[in-house]
Amino acid sequence: MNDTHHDSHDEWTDAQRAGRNAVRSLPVAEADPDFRAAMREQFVRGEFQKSARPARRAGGRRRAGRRIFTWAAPVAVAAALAIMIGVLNYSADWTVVHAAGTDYVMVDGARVPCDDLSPLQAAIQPGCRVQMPEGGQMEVVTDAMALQINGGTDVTIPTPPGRWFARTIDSDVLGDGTFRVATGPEFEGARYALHTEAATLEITGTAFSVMNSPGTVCICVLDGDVQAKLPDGSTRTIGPGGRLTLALDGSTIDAGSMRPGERDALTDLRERLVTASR
Amino acid sequence: MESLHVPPSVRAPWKPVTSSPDPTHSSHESVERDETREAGPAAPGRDIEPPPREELLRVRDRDPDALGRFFDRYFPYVYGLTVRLLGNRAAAEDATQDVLLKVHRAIDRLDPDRDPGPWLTTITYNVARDRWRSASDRMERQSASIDDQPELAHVLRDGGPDPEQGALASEREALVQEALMRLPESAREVIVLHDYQGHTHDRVAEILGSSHAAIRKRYSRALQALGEILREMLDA
Repeated sequence: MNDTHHDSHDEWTDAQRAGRNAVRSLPVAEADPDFRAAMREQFVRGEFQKSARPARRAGGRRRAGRRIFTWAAPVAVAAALAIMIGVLNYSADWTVVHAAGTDYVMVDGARVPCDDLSPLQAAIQPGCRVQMPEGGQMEVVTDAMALQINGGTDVTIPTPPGRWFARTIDSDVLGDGTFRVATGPEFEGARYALHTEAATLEITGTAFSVMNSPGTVCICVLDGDVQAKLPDGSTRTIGPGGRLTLALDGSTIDAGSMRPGERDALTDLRERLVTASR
Repeated sequence: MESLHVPPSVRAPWKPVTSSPDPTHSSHESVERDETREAGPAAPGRDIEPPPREELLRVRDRDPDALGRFFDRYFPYVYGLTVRLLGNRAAAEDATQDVLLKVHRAIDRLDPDRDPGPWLTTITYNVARDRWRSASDRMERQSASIDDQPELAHVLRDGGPDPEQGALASEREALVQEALMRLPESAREVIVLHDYQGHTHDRVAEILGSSHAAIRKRYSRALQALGEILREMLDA
């Protein structure tokens, strides 16, 4: 694969030229006229239906309504109970403990200064997407874990695991940068699935890092185990002190021991997890 | 490799607001021509003149007529982008509705001195990306059918004005779209934003929160991969 920048089209390969011409020759996608009309009406009125698809007919709704009324009270009690349990189950939100850089970090598409903790704290929510510019760094902690997001990383912030249930969480990490994770004692019994471009990593308690670079994903594990589920369905286990470098198709490029510098960085993050979240 | 050709022309996707008091506004950077636009066919992304400032003020005030005109102007762009990013018309329809809902909720913060195009692109891209990651979208992609290609469905069902030509064009479109969907998301997005929607690399870098150099590099690799996938599909 040619990695050079193509400022001159004479340098383009046949494959690149064919790919570009094919995409540029795609027709403008035309929407279904009924869908377009429905969307126009909803947009102008500001009243959006739940789904863009045609709604089903509400046959038999009056009779069903009576039954719903009969059961409304117990359902309401059950719902209130469920809400109460849900609130108690909810663990603490993410706290931004460190942020640095001279550029802007993108949080759900909005620009936030890299080094300004207050707006970053307001913007960082479970499920939000963080795109860290080159040279930037941010660390966020919750009761159970700490994340370090370095320049070039494009990551979705996971929902912290619940206290009793909803303890399986997931997120994904893209871009070309290093993403470090350390878990604490409160993570015990939880499971974190981290989707990378080359594999899905399953973590049940450890400190590890994912280093994305063009065409490769490198996983380093400080302690505990990380299971890497590969696109072909197989699983690789990365043990304590281990390092696994994968190509984007999941094939192994290199495996061995993690480098001392990365070990130090993960140890440092784990130590600060204890001090920052307690 | 089969040649796919349309007449060459150079078109920038976004134009400055005509009565903007500040012609050097940063949002107008995206109208600069990109050097890579000079060769080969132009991107299908359409020229979109932003509405005049007075019109955008009416849109911001949620004037129904102005909202209708705003919709007419930008809907094809938003819908086209979601189709190409998601590769599935059902998912694209849901994503388009999400985009319109987000735009409507935020419309009172619309800056009448800025071209709304880049803002819409960012919202659309983020919604498409969220859907791409969701389990429901993955399931929909697996169950995509002929109904996801209305042009082809129309030709096969009703004949159409020129069934053979129409079917060939639809097959070609489906082939290229299928090749795009085989790319990783990070590769697909740079190609669609640059070559289908016609954004400059600077603008793509801004949307994706990356640097110009990184985007150029990713674009180069993505095009190479796409070309090779297309070659494999045509040879098969």
